[in-house]
Amino acid sequence: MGALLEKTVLVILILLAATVFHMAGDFSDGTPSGGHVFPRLASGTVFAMATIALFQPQTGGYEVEMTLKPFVVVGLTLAFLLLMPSVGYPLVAPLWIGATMWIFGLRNFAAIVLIACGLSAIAWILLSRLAFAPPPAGVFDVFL
Amino acid sequence: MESLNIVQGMITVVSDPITLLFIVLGVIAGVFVGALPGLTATTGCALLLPFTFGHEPLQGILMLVGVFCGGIYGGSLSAILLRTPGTPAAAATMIDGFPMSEKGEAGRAIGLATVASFVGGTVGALIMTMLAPQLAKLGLAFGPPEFFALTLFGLAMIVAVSGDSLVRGVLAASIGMWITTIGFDPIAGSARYTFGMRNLLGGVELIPILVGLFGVTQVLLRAEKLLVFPKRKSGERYLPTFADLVLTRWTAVKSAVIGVFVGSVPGAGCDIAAFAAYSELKRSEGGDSDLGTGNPKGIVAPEAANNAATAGALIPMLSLGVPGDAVTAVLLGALTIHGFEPGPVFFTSNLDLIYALFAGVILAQVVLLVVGLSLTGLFARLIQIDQRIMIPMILFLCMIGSYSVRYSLFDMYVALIFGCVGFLFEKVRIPLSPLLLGVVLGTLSEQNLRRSLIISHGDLMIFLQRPVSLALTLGAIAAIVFMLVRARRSSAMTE
Repeated sequence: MGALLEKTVLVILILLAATVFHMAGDFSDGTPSGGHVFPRLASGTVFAMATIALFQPQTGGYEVEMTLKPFVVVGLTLAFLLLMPSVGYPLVAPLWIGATMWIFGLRNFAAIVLIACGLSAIAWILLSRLAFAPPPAGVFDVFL
Repeated sequence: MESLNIVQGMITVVSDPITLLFIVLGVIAGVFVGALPGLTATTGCALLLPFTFGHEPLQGILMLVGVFCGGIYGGSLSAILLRTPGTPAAAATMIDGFPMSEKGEAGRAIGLATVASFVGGTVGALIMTMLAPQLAKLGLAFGPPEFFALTLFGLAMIVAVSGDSLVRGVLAASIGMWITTIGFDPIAGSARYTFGMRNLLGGVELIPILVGLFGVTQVLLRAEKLLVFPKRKSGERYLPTFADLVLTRWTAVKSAVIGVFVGSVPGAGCDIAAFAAYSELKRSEGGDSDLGTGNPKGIVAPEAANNAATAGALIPMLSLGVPGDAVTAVLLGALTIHGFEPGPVFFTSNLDLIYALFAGVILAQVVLLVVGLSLTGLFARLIQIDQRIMIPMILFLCMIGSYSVRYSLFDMYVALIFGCVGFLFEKVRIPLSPLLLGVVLGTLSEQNLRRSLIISHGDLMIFLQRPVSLALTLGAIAAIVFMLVRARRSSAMTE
């Protein structure tokens, strides 16, 4: 698992660096100090280092433990971000916080509801009253 | 002259109750964050940075300095009480701190750590006050080649001490530097790597990157394995005895001096300062000392050193604009966001702010002493808050903090993406600190590289023809060679 994950990440970095290096040519103004110099320097170094790391003998020589929970947390956060503009922060934020606490293993329903609603309400008040920039209210726009 | 300026700065800070309040809040938040295992002073600064926007620059920066000092001290609480260092800088404190705690002397150990942190931080702040302006005067003679060589030197030092693998350190720093090329070209003004996205024209914002790399990543790592803490008895007193203070006074001062100088080397950081002071104590105490079994000096040395290193790390950041570690990279970002450009010119154009900042750093140590001695019992209970509640709350703060930068959902996505990147990189042993420093130093580095090339008509020899840039370039090469030799030696020893 460790070797596969590490090599996958390194190969992705190599491909990304090669693409970035190639694209940097578009930013050249024909002089040695053009906009292509630094991106080429950085992406060239990423390419070289990732390639060396890929072929180092110690690469992948360890175990990587992976569980599903981090991916579920990322998925929930992504859903929160995607749904916020249409459904609205007032509903999506407490659901997201509550669901995350549930994923982390909290089973006290009252505590989940209290913290999830309280926290999102405090953040809403601070952002709307102090910063005058509340998060998208979605369908609640007509009420708030 | 400096002392007069400091007094003036002290008056500026003390006469403004809001600034004082910000320091107190910063220290309290820092101690809390530092005491929570897995959350570092960097995370604390990254989380609080967005909330400093609406305030005066001095207030915001001093709050973050408070978080930095408090965070480094806070790490010792969980190291002593739970045998889990809250921050890497407290790992050396654990060696003698936890055995003292096991003997039923946790209060005495924490009291010693508090006083040592105060002594270390104060000595460090005083040395910083004397050295930083001198270094800035030297920096005034720097041109683009020197500044490029300086960023190269800073990155090389950071890469050299950031982990086991030089290749991965350079890889991470280069990724960070590449990220800074997204958006408008700083010299020609054309758009680069924006893929037609309007949100990317101004580049990727620093705060969502920070919050993602150091906040969201920790949340994802904790999702895999939550920490469970043993319950502790309450009602302990957190004061050292007078005899302890007399016994450890020279250890505190010597370790503070070691700490401030180690801390001022870019990349060395508070954890290396703490271990350097502990090693020196071990050497001076001789082979038959009882270090490691609950010796008070074993707590004082690392704690004085790591807090002195906080001031040490501010020296290159303020005077040359090169951050010493990840936390000072955040502070550098904060200064930039508030409209300042740290470096030699910063000293001439913002003298009042500089001395108020120095005075604030010294005051933060006094606040730390008071907070440490009076509220430690509360923190000892707080760090045992149910992690199933605490970690989701941190994730929520990460997202709201990222949103509050530009009130844009896009920045929340950036924080999430960098959280995932940080999580993956942690898994495959690519260090995150060089990546962050690459992001912070990237633009400065590019501007000075290109200006140098414009001056020299593309001749790279410009970096070797000027004495300061030659010295810094050689320093960078020496750091890399040192790292290679060390890696070769350690692999030979393993075989």
